[in-house]
Amino acid sequence: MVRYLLQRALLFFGTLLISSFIVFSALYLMPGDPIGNLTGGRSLPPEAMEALRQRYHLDEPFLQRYLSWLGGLFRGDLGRSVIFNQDVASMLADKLTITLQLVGYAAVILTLAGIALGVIAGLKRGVADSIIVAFTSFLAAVPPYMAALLLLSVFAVGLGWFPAIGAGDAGERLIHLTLPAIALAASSLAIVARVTRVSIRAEANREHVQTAVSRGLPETEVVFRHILRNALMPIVTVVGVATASLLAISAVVEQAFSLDGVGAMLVQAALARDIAVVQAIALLFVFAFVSVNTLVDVLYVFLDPRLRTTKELA
Amino acid sequence: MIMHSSTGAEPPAIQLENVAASVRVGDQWRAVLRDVSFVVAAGEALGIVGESGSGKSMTAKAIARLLPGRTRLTGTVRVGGLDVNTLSGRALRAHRSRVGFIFQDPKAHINPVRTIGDFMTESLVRTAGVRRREAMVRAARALGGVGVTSPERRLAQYPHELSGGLLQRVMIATVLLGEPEMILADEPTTALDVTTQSEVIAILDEMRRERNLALVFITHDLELASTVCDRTAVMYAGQIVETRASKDVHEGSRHPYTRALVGARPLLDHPQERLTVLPGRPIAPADAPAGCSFHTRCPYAKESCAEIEPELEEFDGGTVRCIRKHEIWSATTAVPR
Amino acid sequence: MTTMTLTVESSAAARRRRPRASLLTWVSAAVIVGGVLLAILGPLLAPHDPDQTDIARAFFAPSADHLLGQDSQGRDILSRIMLGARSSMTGPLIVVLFAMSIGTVVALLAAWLGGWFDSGVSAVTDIMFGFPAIVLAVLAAAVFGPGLVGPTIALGFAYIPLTIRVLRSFMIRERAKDYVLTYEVQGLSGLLICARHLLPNVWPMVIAQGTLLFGYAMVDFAAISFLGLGVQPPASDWGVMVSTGQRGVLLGYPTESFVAGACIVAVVLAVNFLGERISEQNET
Repeated sequence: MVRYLLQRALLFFGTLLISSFIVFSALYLMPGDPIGNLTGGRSLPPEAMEALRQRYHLDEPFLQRYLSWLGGLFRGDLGRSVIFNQDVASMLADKLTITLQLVGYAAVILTLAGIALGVIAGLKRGVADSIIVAFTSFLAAVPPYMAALLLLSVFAVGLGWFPAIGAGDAGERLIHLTLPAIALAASSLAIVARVTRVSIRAEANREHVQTAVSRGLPETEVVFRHILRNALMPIVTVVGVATASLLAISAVVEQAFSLDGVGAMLVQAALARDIAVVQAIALLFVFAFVSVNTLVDVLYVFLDPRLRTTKELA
Repeated sequence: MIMHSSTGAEPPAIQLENVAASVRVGDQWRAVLRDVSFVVAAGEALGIVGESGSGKSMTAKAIARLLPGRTRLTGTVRVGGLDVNTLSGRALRAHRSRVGFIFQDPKAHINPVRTIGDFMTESLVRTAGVRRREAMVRAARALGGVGVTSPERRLAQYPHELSGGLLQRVMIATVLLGEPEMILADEPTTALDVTTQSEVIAILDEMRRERNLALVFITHDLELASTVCDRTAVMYAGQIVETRASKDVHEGSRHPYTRALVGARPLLDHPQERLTVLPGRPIAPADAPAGCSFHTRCPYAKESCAEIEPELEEFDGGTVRCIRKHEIWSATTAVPR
Repeated sequence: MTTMTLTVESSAAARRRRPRASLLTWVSAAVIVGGVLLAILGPLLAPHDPDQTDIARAFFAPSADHLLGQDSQGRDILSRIMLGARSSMTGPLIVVLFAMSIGTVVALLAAWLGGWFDSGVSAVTDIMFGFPAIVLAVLAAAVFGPGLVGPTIALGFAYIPLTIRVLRSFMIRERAKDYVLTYEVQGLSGLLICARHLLPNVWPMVIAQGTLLFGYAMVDFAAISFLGLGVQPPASDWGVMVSTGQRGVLLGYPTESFVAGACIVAVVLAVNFLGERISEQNET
């Protein structure tokens, strides 16, 4: 078990390191002079240019620059936006809240609804199952931006039940984020439901379930303590992957609903070639993605006792 | 025709009358049991012997109502006088816990992600409302009763940490914890090695006698059944083809199939020149031919065997399903003509 | 119970194994063929000039002259859809070809060579997985500027680890099969065995994976265009149309976004469906 956890930790840091390297070097992949790229082609007074040069250590060798940048990250210095002339860190603060709320909301939806639908479809055959399968196939085919526009068109513009734009003030946050959260969760929900269904079905056919039934245990007990509990591993995996991807997809949904979140900021920065912002946010996304995945891997150990004594994950 | 093994005012522990079952496969119904009838009294042990696919496991499952989802059952299955198929809900669950079912492969039949202790006490804690600590104490005692050393340690372990033999003891102990009125053991020792096998059998036997339980012991091993059980029933293609007191099986069995089984496993003190070999392969109940299900492989088959379906009838101290039984076995000699 | 289970299952399994070219398969094939035709012949088939604006008729409903209506600039939506097929499917095609060729070769090598090479490949792909495709695309857009080039390169690289992972497990299973062993024992070179024997058997799986990848790519490309980082307006790309149509949606004229989106979804569904059919038929 220790070896397994160690492997996971190694993978975690390794991925982060390499990703940070890729993100950093991207700046230097750009054609043209780095300074020109940093300023986005704008011309600044010589003192500002000098300040930039110093700030980004452009007179120093590449590797050293990378290390300085990394060091800055650890100190909480995420760079400075040339466009807004602000520290990226402070710019992120508010937007991060909105994005995190959106992602959290969506994660809850996809987990609860996805698993619930999957369990129902997995245990019952016949009509309920067919309906759920058809529904999830449909959901899976609709990409988040389509779902967003569809929901927008029908429920916000058409029926007027939900607001169409913006994240709203604190009190109204939930209402404003509902449609975006659904749009974000939709296709992932479908996948979670599918995997849950298959996993539950496979587990329900296992012999140890028959043992539980043969002892006269009530159905709910059997479902929760034996079927669902044992089916958790693939379910947790897929929920983990889905949640991890949510952050990246959120950018699209934010665009559709005009939410002022991190994703929107990323896109604006990319279009404006505001490198520092892009680097910081890109790295943030990668960090979130890798963290969730690693968390899921760690969770495995608690879910399956067989992993605690075997040396490697099969 | 049903064979009565004991009379009394009390209903027998288990009573099956002309039980037939089919399972839905795709859009067809395939027979898995064709005609099964027997009676087991409390304290009695009946062995059911047959090859793979003969329907012996299905019989046990029918008694415990553990048949797969889409199954059609005809005939009656009575346990303690109650018609099992009329039960539902709480009554059904109560019935299931009254029947102690021991499965074949303990490694597959115990939930791998929960501890042994959890497995053993689950039924007590969740349905009987026993407090967890008390249940654990009982479980430890039960483990000791089946010969498991350091039971408290075992309770905290996971199934994958125990050997097959040990797990089967756990399974037996768990079944006994539920204070069942009868035990159905479905090939309990098939997945174990021979030494462990005899230990497990000994435990089962001891428990049965101690508590006066009815035991249905399912196996493919005729010798094993004869050793463990008072009576032996032989199944072929979903039907019982013979029942007889175990001590009479070796010399006194009268169905050609049973004779072939006996001949294939000669005893040390009854050497044979050649092992009996039956042509063909065992038939699934759904593929049984017209007439006698065994006639295609039977050395004594005549034309009429392909036309007439034999009934299970009393003969020579047991019951036999064969229309030629009188001809094959003259009443005076034990040797076939 | 082995005999019985076998007899009980085999007829059902046999029934399942009989291939049924169902209605859905034909529909999917038709959709794809239609899409390809549009991609090739789009400009010729379009009834109107896709770039012809007519502000006075903005957001007009479908009419005899404009079968799908007009967008926010009064352009004929049908013509734009027809033209958009090309750019919407070209990018993904390039991405798929790129990712698949590299992925297939690496997976094959990993399956064949095994040992440290395989472990190395697994480790690298695990790390590469940590990078979500969209992030890579955004990064590329920032570096190369918006357009088709950046996202294509980004997605091409982003899909390689997925391809490798899927194909590798399949190829390892295939490689372990006995027929490969018989060739090895005869002394045939690894290259020969891979090329003449392994590859032809693995081909269907590769194609199936390719079709799935094409579906992902189309969706991702459209997402990138939706964000404004890919193909730029006023190009008639389906993803762009979904994006520019957003204003229409907010005003209550969702036709542009919906039609473009429906086209994307239809092609993706068709491609996914066929891909699944192919992999099912070749399930070992």
